[in-house]
Amino acid sequence: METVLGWVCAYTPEEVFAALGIESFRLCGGENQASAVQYLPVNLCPLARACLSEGLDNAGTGASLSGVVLTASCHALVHLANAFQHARGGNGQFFVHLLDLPRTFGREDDAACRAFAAALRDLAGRLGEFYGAAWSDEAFLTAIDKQQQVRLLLRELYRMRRERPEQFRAAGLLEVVRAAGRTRKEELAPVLNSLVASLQDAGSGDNWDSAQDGMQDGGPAAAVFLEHLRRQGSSLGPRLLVTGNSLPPAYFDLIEDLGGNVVGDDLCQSYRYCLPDTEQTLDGGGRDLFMTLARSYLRRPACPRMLAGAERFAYLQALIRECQAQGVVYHTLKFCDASIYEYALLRNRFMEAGVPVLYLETEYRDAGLEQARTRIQAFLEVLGPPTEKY
Amino acid sequence: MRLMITAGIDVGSLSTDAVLMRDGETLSQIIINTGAMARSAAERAFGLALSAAGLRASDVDAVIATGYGRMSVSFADSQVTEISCHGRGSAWLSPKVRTVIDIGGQDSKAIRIDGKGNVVDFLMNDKCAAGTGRFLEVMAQRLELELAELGREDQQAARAAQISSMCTVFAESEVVSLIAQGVPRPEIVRGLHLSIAERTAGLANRLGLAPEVMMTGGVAKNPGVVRALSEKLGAKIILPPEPQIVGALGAALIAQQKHARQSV
Ligand SMILES: Nc1ncnc2c1ncn2[C@@H]1O[C@H](COP(=O)(O)OP(=O)(O)OP(=O)(O)O)[C@@H](O)[C@H]1O
Ligand SMILES: [Mg+2]
Repeated sequence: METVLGWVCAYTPEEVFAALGIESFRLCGGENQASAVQYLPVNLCPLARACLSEGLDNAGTGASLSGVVLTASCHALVHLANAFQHARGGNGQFFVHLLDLPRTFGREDDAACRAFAAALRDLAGRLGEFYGAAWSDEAFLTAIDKQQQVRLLLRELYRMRRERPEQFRAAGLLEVVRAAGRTRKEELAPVLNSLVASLQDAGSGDNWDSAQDGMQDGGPAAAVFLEHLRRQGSSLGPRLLVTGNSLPPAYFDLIEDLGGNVVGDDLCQSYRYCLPDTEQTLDGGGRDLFMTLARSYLRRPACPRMLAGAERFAYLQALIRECQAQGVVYHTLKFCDASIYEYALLRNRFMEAGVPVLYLETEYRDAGLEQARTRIQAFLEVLGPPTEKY
Repeated sequence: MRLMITAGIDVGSLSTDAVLMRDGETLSQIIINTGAMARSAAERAFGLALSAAGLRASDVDAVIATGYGRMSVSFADSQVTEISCHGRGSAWLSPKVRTVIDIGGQDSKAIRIDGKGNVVDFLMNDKCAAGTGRFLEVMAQRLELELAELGREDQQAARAAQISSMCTVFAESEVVSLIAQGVPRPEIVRGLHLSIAERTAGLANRLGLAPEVMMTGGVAKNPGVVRALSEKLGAKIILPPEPQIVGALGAALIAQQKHARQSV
C-alpha cells in the first residue's frame, strides 16, 4: 500500500515535501470523529479531533499514513501532534513532527522569518533522514515554482467566483482547494490551467459543456476537479464573506441553498491556502530558498490564531471591498479560544463599519446543519433588500 | 374587491400555533402541542384555525410557515424564519418596540428591529436547554407543578434559592438537593426564574438593549420570569395579549405583504 505524509494547517510547506519526492495528503477531517475519542478530550477543537480520526482510520487517503507534519499554530494542533505520537509513534515507524510557527501579526518580521527558515531546514533534514530521500535545490526550486503556479490558478477561480458566481458554487471551489492539498502539483497545474482556460472562454450558463470539451485529455485528475465545479452557482442573493475557522463544505452548500452567495472567504482550507506569493521573492537574488519560503508563508495575511485584531480587521475590510460582500459570516469551531476571542474583537468593529456579521458556531460536523439553518436564513432575511425580503 | 386572507403557521419545538388574518384583522388563533410529527401538527392547527374562522383552505390566499419545523409544512407558500416573524409580529402589536426577547421551548433569541418590524440584528442561544422553556418544563416536573402554576408559586417566595449551575442536568440535581434540604418550593421556583433571567439578560445585553422591550414566546406567560428579567435588565417589558402566537402572527402579516406585492 502506498504511504503518504499527512498535514493540516495552511502554514505547512508542501514545497519541502515535494522537493524530497514525498507524497503528502492534507487532512481535512471528515464526519466521523470516533477514533479520536480514545486520545483527545471531547472539549478540544473538533477539527483536530476529526483530523486525528481521519488519519488513524486512513480515511479518504486511499493510502496509509506514514507520518504527519503539524504546525504549532494553536494548542489543539500541538495536542494533535502528541496524540499521533502516542497512537502511532511508538515504534519509530511513524514520522511525527511539530513545526514551530512564529507569530507575526501578519507583519514583516525578519527575526521571525529567520527562525521559521531554520525550522523549515530542520524539517527537511529530518524528513530526508526518515524517508531516505536526498535533498536537491533544483527539485526544491521546481516544487516552489509548481506550488506557486497552482496558487495563482486557484486564485483565478476565486476571482471568477467573485465576478461570475453563476459559473460554479463556492462549495465546489472549497472542494477543489481541499483536493489540491492532496494532489501532486505537477499533475495539478496543467489540469487547473486548462480548467481555468475553458471556464474563461465559456460564456456564463454553458460553462459546464465547454469546460468539459476543453478538458477531454486531462485524465482522471481533471475529471475529479471538474466534477466539483459541475454544479452551477447563483449570482442572486446577498454577497457574503466567510471568515474565522474552517467551515465544512456542507455548510457552504447550506448557505447557497438558502440563497446566500459566498463570494469570498479567508479560510485555512480555502482562500488562505492560495495566498503566499513566492514569485516576487524568488527573483530577489540571495537564493536562500528556505528564507524565501519562510518569508512568503509569514508574509501572507494572518489567521485568527495570530490574534492580530487591527491588522486582521483591515485585511478583512479590504477583502470585503474586493468581493463586494454585504455581510460576513464568522465561523468558530467549538472550543477554539483563538477564534472566539477574535470574534469578540472584530464584532464591534464590523458593527461600527456598518457590516452585518453572523456568528456561526459548529462542531465541524454535518449533524449541526439544521441548527445552523435558522441562523443563516434569518441573516439572509436581514440582508435582503426590504422589497424582496420575503 | 375581496379582502386578502392569509395564514401564519409557527411550528415550534413545543407548540404549533396558527393565525388567520384578513387585512390586518385577526380572524382566529390556535395553539396546540407539536408532538412528535411536525407535519400533522401544522395541518391540525391550520384546520382548527380555519373552522374557528368558518373558512375553508381554498379561502386562504397565502400561507407562510415559520418555526423550526417550517420546512415540513408542505401546504405553505413559503418559509420565513421565526426571527423575522417575531420581529414583525411584535412591531405590529406595539410599534415602539425595538428589542424582542423570544423564549420558546428550545431556544432563546434577542432580536433588534426597526420601526417597521424589520430585523436589524439578532443573537440566539440554540446550543443547550439552559435558559429555555424546556429548562422550566424539566424543573416544574421535578417540583410537581404545572407550567401555569410557576408564576403564582414564585409570588409566594420570601427570597430566591441559589441555583448556581446553568446546565439543565446539573441544575436539576441542585433542585433535588434543595428539596432534600427542605428549602420551600416557592424559593426554589424563584431561584430558577432568576437563573433564566440572568442568562437571557446576558444575551439581550450582548445584543444591546434598545427600548422598548417586548417579550414573546411561551415563557413570557410566566410572570415570575418576566418580573425577574425586567429587574435584571432594568427595563420595562411589554407583554403581548397572547405571547405564544406572535411568531404565527408575524408570519400571517408577512404573507399579506408578500402576497399584496405579488398581486400588483
Ligand atoms: N401557561 C404557561 N405558563 C408558563 N409557561 C408556559 C406556559 N405555556 C408555555 N410555557 C412555556 O413556554 C415554553 C414553550 O414556548 P413556545 O410555545 O413559544 O415554544 P416553541 O415556539 O414551541 O419553541 P421554539 O421556539 O424554541 O422552537 C414551554 O417550554 C414553557 O416553559
Ligand atoms: Mg417559537
